[in-house]
Amino acid sequence: MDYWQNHLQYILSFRFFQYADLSIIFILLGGGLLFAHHKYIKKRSKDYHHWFNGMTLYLFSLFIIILSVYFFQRKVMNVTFPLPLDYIYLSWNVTQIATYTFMIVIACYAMGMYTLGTFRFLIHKNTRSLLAIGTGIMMWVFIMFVLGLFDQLKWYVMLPMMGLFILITGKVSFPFIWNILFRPIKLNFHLNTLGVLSFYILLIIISLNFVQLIIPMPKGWDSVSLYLNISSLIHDYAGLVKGHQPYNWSLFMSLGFVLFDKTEVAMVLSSLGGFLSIFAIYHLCAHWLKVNVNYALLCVLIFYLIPSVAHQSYLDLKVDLGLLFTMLMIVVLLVEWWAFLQSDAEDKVKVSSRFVIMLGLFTGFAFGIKLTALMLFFAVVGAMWYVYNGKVAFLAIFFLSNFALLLFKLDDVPRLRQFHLGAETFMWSMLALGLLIFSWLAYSQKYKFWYTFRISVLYTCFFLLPILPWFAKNYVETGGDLSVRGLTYGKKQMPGASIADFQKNWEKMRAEEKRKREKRKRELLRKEKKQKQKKKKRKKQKEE
Amino acid sequence: MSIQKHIFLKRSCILLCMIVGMLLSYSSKAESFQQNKKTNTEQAKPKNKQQKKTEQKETNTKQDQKNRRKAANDAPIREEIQRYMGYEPILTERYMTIPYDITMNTNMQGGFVDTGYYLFMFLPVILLLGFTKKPFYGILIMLFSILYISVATTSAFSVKRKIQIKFIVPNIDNFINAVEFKDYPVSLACAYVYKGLYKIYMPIYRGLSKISGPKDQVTYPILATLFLLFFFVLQKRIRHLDKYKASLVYLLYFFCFIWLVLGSGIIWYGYLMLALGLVFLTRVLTNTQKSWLRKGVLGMFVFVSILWIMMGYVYRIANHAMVTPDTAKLLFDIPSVKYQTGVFDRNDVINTLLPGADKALEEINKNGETLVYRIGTFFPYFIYKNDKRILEDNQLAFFQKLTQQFQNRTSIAEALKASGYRYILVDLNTASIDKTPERSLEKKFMSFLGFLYNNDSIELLATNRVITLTPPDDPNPIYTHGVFGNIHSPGTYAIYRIK
Repeated sequence: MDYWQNHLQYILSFRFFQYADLSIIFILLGGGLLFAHHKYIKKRSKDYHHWFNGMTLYLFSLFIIILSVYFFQRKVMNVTFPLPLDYIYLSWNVTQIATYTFMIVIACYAMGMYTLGTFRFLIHKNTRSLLAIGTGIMMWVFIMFVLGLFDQLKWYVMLPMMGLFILITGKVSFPFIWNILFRPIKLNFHLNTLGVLSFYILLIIISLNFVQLIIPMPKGWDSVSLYLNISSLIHDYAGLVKGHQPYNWSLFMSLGFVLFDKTEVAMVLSSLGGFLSIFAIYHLCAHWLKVNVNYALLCVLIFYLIPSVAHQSYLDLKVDLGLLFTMLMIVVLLVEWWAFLQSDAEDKVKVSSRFVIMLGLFTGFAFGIKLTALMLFFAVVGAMWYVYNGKVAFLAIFFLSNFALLLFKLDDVPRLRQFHLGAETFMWSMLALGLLIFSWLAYSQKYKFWYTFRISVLYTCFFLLPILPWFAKNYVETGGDLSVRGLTYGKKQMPGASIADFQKNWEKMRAEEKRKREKRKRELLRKEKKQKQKKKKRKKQKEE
Repeated sequence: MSIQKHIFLKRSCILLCMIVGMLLSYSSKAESFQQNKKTNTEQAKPKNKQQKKTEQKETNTKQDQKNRRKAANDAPIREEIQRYMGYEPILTERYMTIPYDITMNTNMQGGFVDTGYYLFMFLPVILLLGFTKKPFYGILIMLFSILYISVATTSAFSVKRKIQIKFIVPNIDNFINAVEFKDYPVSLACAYVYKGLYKIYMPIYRGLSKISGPKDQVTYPILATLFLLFFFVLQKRIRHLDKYKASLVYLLYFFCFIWLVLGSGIIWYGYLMLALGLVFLTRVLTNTQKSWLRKGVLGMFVFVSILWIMMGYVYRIANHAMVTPDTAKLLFDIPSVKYQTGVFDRNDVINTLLPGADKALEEINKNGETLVYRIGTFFPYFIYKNDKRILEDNQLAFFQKLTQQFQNRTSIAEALKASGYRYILVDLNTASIDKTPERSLEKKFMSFLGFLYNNDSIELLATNRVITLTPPDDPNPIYTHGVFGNIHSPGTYAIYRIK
């Protein structure tokens, strides 16, 4: 009740709801889908089951888009009959952008599979594709960073590289394309009405979000002024933009501009993080926590309907959904690691190190998307210590993290430190408590303690690895500033905002103007003198 | 205990003491060094009372100036970032009410900060479900929930309506007396609940007022203590889980705490909480285990979910806008649909969304070396090499400095021109984000408008604000684009050229 009372927009949306006709058609379509599911798809009827694949889903969502646009045109643009040419153009536009995005995703998958193969991971098949895409994004961003240093972020450099990688890893890439587009989707036996309808509504929301990304300019404040602006500038310079906090996801988004010169693709890439997060959430629900598939789909739908998430999926395109996807990949990796530790496999120590390395790289990459990912770094360290050394170790990490947060004045970034008068004392007491517990742990669990300590150091090192290039860039930009701010934000090329300089320039201009005025005055005087002299001369001549 | 262990323990303790001692002595040394420095300088010159007074005054003035400068520097972040967290006068409350505030959108309103009600609604439920056989913990959780909700609702009531705590009850009474139940059933029911919770809140408020305030020493320790207490309850709640699953619950819990301390209530910094929180929530609520209580909870979850889906769908169809009969039609916007269907090209869309700006932008892009002074607006995206040419002053901190340095509007314009600036971009709604109690941004923006008003040193190039040239009652109104005058359509931007 309190929520409704504070969110009148929901009540108003019901009161002024204008799309009853469209919704009825959606309901009928949903009914049709349910019927098809119960009659044919669930029974895996040979004649119809193979029709249920990625391509038909895409065509179905295209139909939803056309339908929605038509009803919008009817209501707002006074269009009575459907305009086939409009819808052909719309379909072409949607398909074009979807294809471009899909190509980038395939390139990421190819790169990710190659990298994961190198690490020789034993990852569950359900997560492999998702982790491969996440890893691929990370690797391509790194490559783009290097190319950006030499101003080589050009389509004729990137496109062949991506194409080549897809070809090289053809053994996994081409089956991936086939599986996504044409392989019949295996439905869970437990799928019921709730699940089908959740999936269907999710499809509607995704379709609506997608079509609203097909515009030539971003609309949201942050996307225009920061995140997509950086991507656009990267395209303009064919290289990195000076200043700003690390911008891994903007670099990834810039692929839309670099490869295809399309703002729409860049915007879809921003939203892609949210789309991929859906799969990660579903995986965590259905495969890790063994939630019934229907409730797992419901959970995904609930998440995707959250207005704040929806807002970032099609209105204000930031990098937070990309960050969420990367963070969820970290959680998925942790789940995989824990599953591996619970298995009977040998060589657990060695393989664990690989997991730690990967976790570190992902966390570093997340930190390079947004500095707020540091919050997850501490939480992951806490989780690791808990698993190996128990609750008390977790508390020690809590105390030490508090110490670190206050020592590096992270609470001063949002200018909150000024309100905490006893922060210093609190900070030292946190350190003392943390060290006290740590020394007790070192004494009581000697082997375990040092092992966890070692993997924590390893994790931190690999966490730092993806950020180091950014730090180096910022260090060079700032001319050797080693402060935390200098290293994380670099130096923007924005014109200087020093009042002293303004004053100096103003005085200079005034002096210049004064000089000009005086010069003009002198010239006038000289002219007057000359004229007078001339007049005098003339007078004299006349008199003579 | 073996000798080796004994020696190890002894050495560890010594090492620990040394480290702590070193750090403490370092911090105290730093402080004492500062103090010594002060006293040394003071001792160096014996002074009479008058001199001392003058010096004291000077020091105070310097300190004041320093504080003012710091406040001016911090103002943009206070206006831009801290608005999500709120400006409650009691610091502890400011932090503690964040979960409620982000759910109910107390400090910021709009779809972009709306997180739904799930986590806030079901968190006590999933905790209680674990303590059906341990009623003590159940009672403890319920008690804490009631205390928490009393603090959160009363504080939010005061913040949202901008009234002091002591005026809340009269305010609620006025409302109850003024409306009838059939007209506002939800609001009236909430009003009675608020009134009841207010009584619970008052003793807490009195207690907190004594130890906390706008600045304090206790908020961090209180938050850390609450973390530990709740950790204790949580570990009892998830005792049945294996350590691997439990580790991820703790990961989320720790993440939430850090977000609470550092995130300033900005929800997108903590999207992971929403995603993982929903995952855990679904797991707990859908685990029926053949118990009637669990089945009831599952039923409630499904019912609430269906309600949420309906709400979410309807709100999504209204495009997450401020809903009116007209805006509710706007599932899409017209220029975008025209672009998607091939009727418009890129320039048409820009012209429709930002009417009149194209020529001004063309001019700015043509004079590629000139600088641009910007207060908000979407335009940098359309300006070539905008990272090198645009000075951002969204919260007008720099303009404030300019007004302190230069005596009149002409000299400010001259100073801008002298430094190479030729254009000014203004978001006409800049002050709308100001939620600070002191309305600092609003004041700065008014001062800025004063700078623009009838200033001969600048000229208006473009704006989408429409003003009426004729008197308000004129049957034949004449409209024109302008910034000052009788506003017909408020618009969003203005572009000026410095002459």
